[in-house]
Amino acid sequence: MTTTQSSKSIFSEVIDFFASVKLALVLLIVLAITSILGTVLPQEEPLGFYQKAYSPLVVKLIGFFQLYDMYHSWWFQWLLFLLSVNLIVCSLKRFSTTWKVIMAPPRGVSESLFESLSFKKKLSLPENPLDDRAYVSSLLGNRFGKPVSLTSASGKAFYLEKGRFSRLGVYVVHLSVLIIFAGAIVGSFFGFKGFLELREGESRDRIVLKGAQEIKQLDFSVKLDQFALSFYPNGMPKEYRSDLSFWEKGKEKEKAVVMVNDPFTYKGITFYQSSWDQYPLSIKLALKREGRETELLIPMEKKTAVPATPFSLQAVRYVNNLSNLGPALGIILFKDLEKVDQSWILADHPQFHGNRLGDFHLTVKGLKTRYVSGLQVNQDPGIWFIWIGSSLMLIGFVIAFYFSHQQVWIWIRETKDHQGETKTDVLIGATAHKNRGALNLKMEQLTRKV
Amino acid sequence: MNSSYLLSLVTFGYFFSALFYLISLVIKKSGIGRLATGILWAVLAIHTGAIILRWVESYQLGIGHAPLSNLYESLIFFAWTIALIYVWIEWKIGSKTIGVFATPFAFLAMAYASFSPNMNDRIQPLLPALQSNWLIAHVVTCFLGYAAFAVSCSVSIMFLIKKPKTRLTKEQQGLLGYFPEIAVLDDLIYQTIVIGFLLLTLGIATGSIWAHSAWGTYWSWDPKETWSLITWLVYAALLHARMMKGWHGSRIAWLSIIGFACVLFTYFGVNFLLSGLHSYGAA
Repeated sequence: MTTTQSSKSIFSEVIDFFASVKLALVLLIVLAITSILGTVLPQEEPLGFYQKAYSPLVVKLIGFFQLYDMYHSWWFQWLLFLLSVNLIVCSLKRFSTTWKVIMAPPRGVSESLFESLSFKKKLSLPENPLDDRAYVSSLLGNRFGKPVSLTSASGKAFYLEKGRFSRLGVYVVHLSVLIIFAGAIVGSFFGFKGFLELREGESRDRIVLKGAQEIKQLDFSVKLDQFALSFYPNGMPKEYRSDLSFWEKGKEKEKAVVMVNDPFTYKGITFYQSSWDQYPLSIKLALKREGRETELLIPMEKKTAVPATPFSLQAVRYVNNLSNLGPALGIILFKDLEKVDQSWILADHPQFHGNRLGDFHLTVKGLKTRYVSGLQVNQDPGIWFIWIGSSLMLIGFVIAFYFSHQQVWIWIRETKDHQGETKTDVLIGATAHKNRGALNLKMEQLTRKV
Repeated sequence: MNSSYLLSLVTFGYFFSALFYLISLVIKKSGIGRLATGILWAVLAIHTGAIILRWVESYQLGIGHAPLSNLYESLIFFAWTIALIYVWIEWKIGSKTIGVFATPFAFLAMAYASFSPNMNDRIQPLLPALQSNWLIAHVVTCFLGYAAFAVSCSVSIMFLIKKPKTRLTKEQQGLLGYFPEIAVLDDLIYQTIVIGFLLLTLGIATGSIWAHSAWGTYWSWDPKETWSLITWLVYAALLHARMMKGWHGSRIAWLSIIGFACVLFTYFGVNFLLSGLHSYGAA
């Protein structure tokens, strides 16, 4: 017997611990303080970054506590899990009591009831009101709804209330937090975040997933028909715009325009305008060797022979801005089939001494470029949880903060005073489950006019 | 007349309003208090006009967006929301002493916007990421929330100054005797925090809807987002402590001041000390 008793008490102690407001306060504050860390320490950098910036011991700590991605670290997830358990246990524990209160019939009138109420007042009427119900209505108006008759040993009793269900506001708020957490979990298990780079005219049906370097196969392909960007007169960017088309089994199914702040969803997968770049289609080069200059057009990535020589050139890389020196091309020089030299050739700096490959001095005469559009590609089936959770939270706040369950009892009795004269006593009592001060004030105003 | 000229008038207006609130408290002349309130109403009206005028000017420049797009414009709006919330509270509780502590916040925000050397006060077009209808909803709700927290912080300071003297009679308390009753201040701290908390929640929610349409993620643990969450957690703890643990008075006042310190860090600290998606707010 004693063992079951003590195990029971341990069980109820555990429940009490997880239901406690103290735990909630500690968790909220610990979450607030630890969250600061991830705003100070750069997140999701490669290991080398931390090794360069911090001592080996600190790097070890960063590794153990996963501080390089702290909001997804094991201990931060544990804190969030604990908070969820705290929310669930505390809400369940309190809910049964609240529900009983909500479902309970109003308490009958008695002297002790009125003693327990936060507002109480006794009025004396010279004579019995003709119609008690009408009298109650004249007193309180429609503020508390229709008066309900209560059975009472003597006289007549009425009960009025409003905002009974406002007692549930706090549960709506707690539930909304859990729904938001559920949305985040659903999103991370059943959704994905990926990236797609498309050149103008290019079509792809696979995307690179974030982080894992995984490839995801889509069951349709997406084509960039055109990319456009525009600027304000002062040079600030105004608009990035990708004209996309979606294809299935070689057939175009839909066209769409994607801009920043204006994504497009196809078959549950959403495309966001994220970045842009340029790449050259072909390069017009001036080649100078032993005093002779020739011009040559080389298509990007295609090995092109230099006429009347055993050499050929291949442009393999293009960057928009190399070390702030503007656009640069990575070009390889071949002699017969053998690679003999490679270098960055700066397009905007024809005099740059590094613009040479073997015996050739290269000058970029013209670049024919096309755009590359960077698209964020996401699927998040949890997003509706987030929007529903956020809306519920706001509704719950308004209920919890601005409404309360207000109850009013009125007891009309005939009594005899000291001289034996009959008079009518009206006992008015009221209470609210919160913000009693405001109700007391209101009741005082209502009963003063009588 | 342009909006910049009106806004410099507004800056001085808040200064004089704050000054007269202080003088009326010190020399206990109700006429001066009414003057302070009069100035404040007039300044608030001019301020409102200036914000609308700046909006109109941006259309005249062919740019056309609400004046809520950079640090300068946000400070102007922040000062406006503080003045608005304070005027509402003065009208509601009928005490002018809170003005001594609230109007300086409005003046400081305006002064910072007007006199900081690195402040860009030109009307500029919107970057693609800012071109969203959610911009207005997000900024308006966040700053109304911040202003409610600012007022709550001023009331908390008043509470902490008055608290040790409550045992004395009204005459012995001197100037503090003119502060609202300690219970009124305590309730006001709570009421303003509830308003701020609702608006901050709305601000975070509208921000995440916007982030979702601009970047595809409703939450990315960007420093500004994280600091707004830290602020939210501090006020959530405060509300639980007050409603469930019965905390009152000084402890709540201190928590409210800590909460507002978090607001200030979310607003300024993140822009200057940390980097992230909200960095356009720094210029």
